[in-house]
This record gives sequence, structure tokens and C-alpha cells, in this order.
Amino acid sequence: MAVFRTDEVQDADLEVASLEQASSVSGNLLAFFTATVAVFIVSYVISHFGTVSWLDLIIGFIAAISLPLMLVMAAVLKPVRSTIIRFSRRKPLAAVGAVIIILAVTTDVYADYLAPHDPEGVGVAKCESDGQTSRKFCGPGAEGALLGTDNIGRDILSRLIHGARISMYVGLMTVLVGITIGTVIGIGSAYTGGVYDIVVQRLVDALMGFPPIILALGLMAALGASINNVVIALVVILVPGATRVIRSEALRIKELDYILASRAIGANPFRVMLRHIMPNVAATYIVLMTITLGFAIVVEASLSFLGVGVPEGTPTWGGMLNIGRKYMEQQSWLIVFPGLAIALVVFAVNFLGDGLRDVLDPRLRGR
Amino acid sequence: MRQYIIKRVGLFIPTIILITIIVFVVMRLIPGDVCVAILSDGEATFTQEELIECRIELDLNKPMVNQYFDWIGGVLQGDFGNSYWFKAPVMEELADRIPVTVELTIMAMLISVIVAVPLGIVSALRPESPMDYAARVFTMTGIAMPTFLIAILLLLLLVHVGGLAPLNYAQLWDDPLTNLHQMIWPALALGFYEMGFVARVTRSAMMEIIREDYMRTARSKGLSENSVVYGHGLKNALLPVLTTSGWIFARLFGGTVIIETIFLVPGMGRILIESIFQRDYTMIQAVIVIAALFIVTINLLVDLLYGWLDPRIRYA
Repeated sequence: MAVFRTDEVQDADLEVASLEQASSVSGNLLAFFTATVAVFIVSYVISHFGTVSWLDLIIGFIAAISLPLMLVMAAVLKPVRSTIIRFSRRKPLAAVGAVIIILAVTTDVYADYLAPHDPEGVGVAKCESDGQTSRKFCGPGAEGALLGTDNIGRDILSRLIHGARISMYVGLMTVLVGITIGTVIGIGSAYTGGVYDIVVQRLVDALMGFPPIILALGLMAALGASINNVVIALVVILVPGATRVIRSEALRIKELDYILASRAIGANPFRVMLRHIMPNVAATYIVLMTITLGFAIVVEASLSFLGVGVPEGTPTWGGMLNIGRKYMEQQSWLIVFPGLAIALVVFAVNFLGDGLRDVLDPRLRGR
Repeated sequence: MRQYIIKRVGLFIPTIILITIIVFVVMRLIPGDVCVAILSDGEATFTQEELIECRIELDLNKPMVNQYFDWIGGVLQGDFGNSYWFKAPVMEELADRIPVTVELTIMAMLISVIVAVPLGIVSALRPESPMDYAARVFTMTGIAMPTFLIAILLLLLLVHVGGLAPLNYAQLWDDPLTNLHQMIWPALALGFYEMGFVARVTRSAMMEIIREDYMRTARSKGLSENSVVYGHGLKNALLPVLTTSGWIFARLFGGTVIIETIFLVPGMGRILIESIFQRDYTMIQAVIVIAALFIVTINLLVDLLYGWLDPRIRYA
């Protein structure tokens, strides 16, 4: 259910193309669509770990195929499509945000094919400066580099495209893992109550006492710079907030009659939590994921900007800004493009988050 | 009220203890231990004697529980241990830096409230007007632009337009004018995000309050529009700003790390980053604990204030 709804919304851009197509669909196709979405998410996550080369190739291939398949199916399947159309009529800005996010994810998945050069490759372009041929600091529009080159002559466009990989992966992964863990803990804590609840509450209070970035910095200092450590640090700062929101939601649901009814016919606690509470916090869960996605992307960029996030050399938007800020007086394109990329994605995520919140869970307003 | 205070303070103490435990545990997540991490930095080699010496210096040769209680005992007396990098007590270095960061945070908070509250009110009083749209676009921009991007753009602007302050940092009490000149831009960049947030909260609160019965009563008894809005409306509209202010403070405090690095302000945030690169774990530990203590204390004060202002909270 959860997966299904997010993707309806994400696929807003294909709705027009398929308006005239025939639209009688069976439940089987819908199930197949959900399966494609699941396959995409799993292959997307695994393809970013990058350890075994031949396996990476296969999994990357699966992700590359399932993404367009997923989008096309969302456009063809009538229930999905009509939801998308309704949503984009009600919240046009959120739909625009969704399109930008889909584009960013697409850039991420096909980064290797889209980038004109190797992001780490030096001297891929050349330009004239002060009468001599130079390979560094080429302005936008230079020969071989559309957006110019950086301080050691790497192509900025290719680095931006590969930077989308890090930003989107870290953002989506932390939100997926962090909010899911928070939801499980929150429901458990609300339903069980007692000592477990008190302990969880105090832990949440303590973790929320840290300024988020400072806690993330502390964790990065201890764990060392790497992409997956950034994910761990971000998950730690996302879990307490999610736990608190989901717990209060679950506390309310717990008192409803159908929970009592289900307990009366002898359902065990796990069944009650899984079958009766979980589906009812699904809307909050999705909204929380979109609302915190922007925050996660910004914190990752901040960590990379400060030089303690993703290891240096790996192209990240935050890291590019950090390099660019030393040269920003003369070579302003070094900060303009990564800055635009971050602002655009965060804008898009915020618009989508606000739109989804208004539609799915208006009670979260103002959080 | 007394019971409320007791209850709230009763929650405060376990939270603080947990915070120190969390920081202590996080610092033990380092692969190997602190000494191995320090000595092997940059592929350097080290001898067994150096390792033992370092462990003695940093008290790592004792059992974990003893280490924790030794550290806590020191913290209670304001001694956060010795820095491995400065070869001096951590507090000596931090004493000058804490006020800087606190000043920056408070200034950013003031700036954002002063700008955002009127913006939110104007926006709420004339919904769907051009003014409202302008305010909302500004708010959105504030929320979507990461702090470091705002800071870099502001710095770029200052470089081109002029107005950059002298680099040598002046303390507030030594040279207030230079100090304010140095702090105003970082504070503005830091407060920009919260401006958007506060304006949004004020707007939605004010929109709800305008429809309340007591506002109609105030109007019907013939009060001027100004005293209705500012006398009756504003007070209530500021309550949600107050409740979120603990959270705002936490974010601003965290944001100082980035702002201080970009604007070269010698505060706690900058030394945190430097310590991470120098692997000065005692310093990192101290900065994180102090930051968390600040936030938790502010949250406690906000809660108490809120309970005092709004009796419904006390009896909830």
C-alpha cells in the first residue's frame, strides 16, 4: 500500500501521454505494477553499494529497466493514472515537484550513460584564457564541457550528474530506513506501553536534545567518512522524530473500537499492530518520508560541504560547493551550478511534501 | 504549577544522563580506539609504547564504566578533560568560543523573529493578496535554500558590493561596533531559514485566530482594528512560535557549525569541525555535550514558560 501510493504521485509526468489509451485493467496488472515498484526499489538500493562488479552490472541493469517500466505502467493503469491526474489538478506545484524528483532519480539511475565524461577525469575540455590554452577553470560553454571545468579540470556537468547519485541515494535510503525504523519503534512503544514505552520515550527525548547536524557530525567523527556512514548518521537523527510522531498517531488508533474487536476475537499483539495499526499510520508514514527527504538531502550536502561526509574526490553537490567557494569571486560557475541543483531538488521535495501532507494527513500541518 | 514544574524537571534529569551516555557511547564507536585513530592518522606508524602512553594520557586503560564516571565527575565540575591536540584543558579553549556561538544564535533568532512575525501577520490579514503571495514566496525560498547556500551567496554578494567586516575577531565587550558588524551577516544568513519557518507558523496561527469568537467580540465592542489585531490576536498567535522556539534554537545552534566555517567566526561550531579533522575526540565530545545541554535547558525553559502562559498545558 505504502509503496503503491508514493509512486502514483511520482509518476505525474506521464499522465497526459496515456490519456487516450484503453483503460480496462485487471487486478493482476496492478499486482504486477506493485511488484515492479518493489523490484525497482530493491535493485536501486543494491546498485549503490557497488562491491561485486558483475553483480552490480546485472542489478544496475534491472534498475535501469524497471524504472521506465514502472513509469509506463503507472501511466497506463487506470486507477493509478486517475489518482495522479486528480492529485496534479489539486496540487499542481506538488506535481511539478514530483516530476523534478523523478528526473533526479532518473539521472541517478542512468548517471553512467548520461554523463559526457568521467566525473573524476582530469583535462577533458580545453579553453582559451589570457591567450593560452587551459584545461582548468574553463567557463560554461567551453569546448567539451557544457558547464565548464573545475579547479583541476574536471567536467562540472558530469560531476553534477554523478552528484545526483549521492544526493538522491542518501536522501531516499535514509528516509526509507529511518522512517521505517521510527514507525516500527513508535507503534511498538504505543501499543506495548509500560516500561518499554517509558524507556523509548526518554531515549527519544535525549536524542532530540542534540542539534541534528552536531549529532551527525559526532557520528561521522566516530565512524569515519563514507557514504554508508552518512546514511547511518542520518538514520540516527531521523528515527527519534519519526518515532514520536508515529507513536502519538498509534496511541490514538489503539483506543478505537476495531482494535478492541480484533483483540476480543483473540488476535495476537503482532497481528493487531501489523494488520490494524500499521495500515492506519500509512498516510502519516508516507508524509513523514517526503517531508524529511528534503532535510536528509540538505544534511548530506552540509556534511559533504564541511568535508566530513562522503569522502573527498567522490562527486557530491555539497563537496563541489566546498571546492567552488574558494574560487567563487572569479569562477562563479563553480558554485552556481551545484547550488542550483541543490536548491531545485530541495524546492521540489518540499513542494511535493507539502502537497502530499495536505492531501493525505492535514493534521501534520505546521510540523 | 508546582506539580507541573516538578514533573517537567523530573523528565529533564534522566534526559541529561542519557545524553551523556549517548555521547560517551558514540565516541566508543571508533574502530579500534581513540588512540589508534589518532596515532594511525594519515597512514602514520606508531610504536606500542606510544600507544600505551596515549592510552594513559586519555584514561583509556581503565574499564569503560570507570571511564564514564571519571568523565562525568569532571563534567559536573566544568572539566571536560584535556585536549590531545592543544595539550590543555578543553574548557580553556572553549571558554572564549561559547559566548560567540551563543551570541550568533541569539542574534539569528532575533533577526528571524523580527522579520518573520510581521511578515506572517500581514500575510494572514490579507490572504491571497499580492503581499501575501510575496511573503509566501519569500517563506518558501527561506525553507528550501540550505543554510550553507544562503551563506555562500551572501558572502559572494558582500565581496562584490562591499560591506565585509574586518577579519580579526573582536569580542562583544571589547569593541561592540566591530563585533556587531562582524556578526550581523553570519546571523542574517543563519536566521534566513528560520525566517521562513517562523513566518509560516505565525501565518497559520493568525489565520485561525482571526476567526475566533473573542476577536469578533473585540471588534463589536468598538476597538480599533489595530488593537484588535495586536492586542488580542498577536499575543495568541505568538504561542505556537514560542512552542517551536526550542526546536528553532536547536536548529540555529546546529547551523552555526556551517555559518562559522564559511564566515570564519571563531565559535564552538568551527572548533568542532577543526577537531574532527585533528581527531581531537575530547574536544568533539565536550562540544557535543555542551550543545545538547544548551538545547535541553532551553527546551525546559520554553516548556515552563508555556505552562505559565497557557494554563491548559499545566493540567493536561
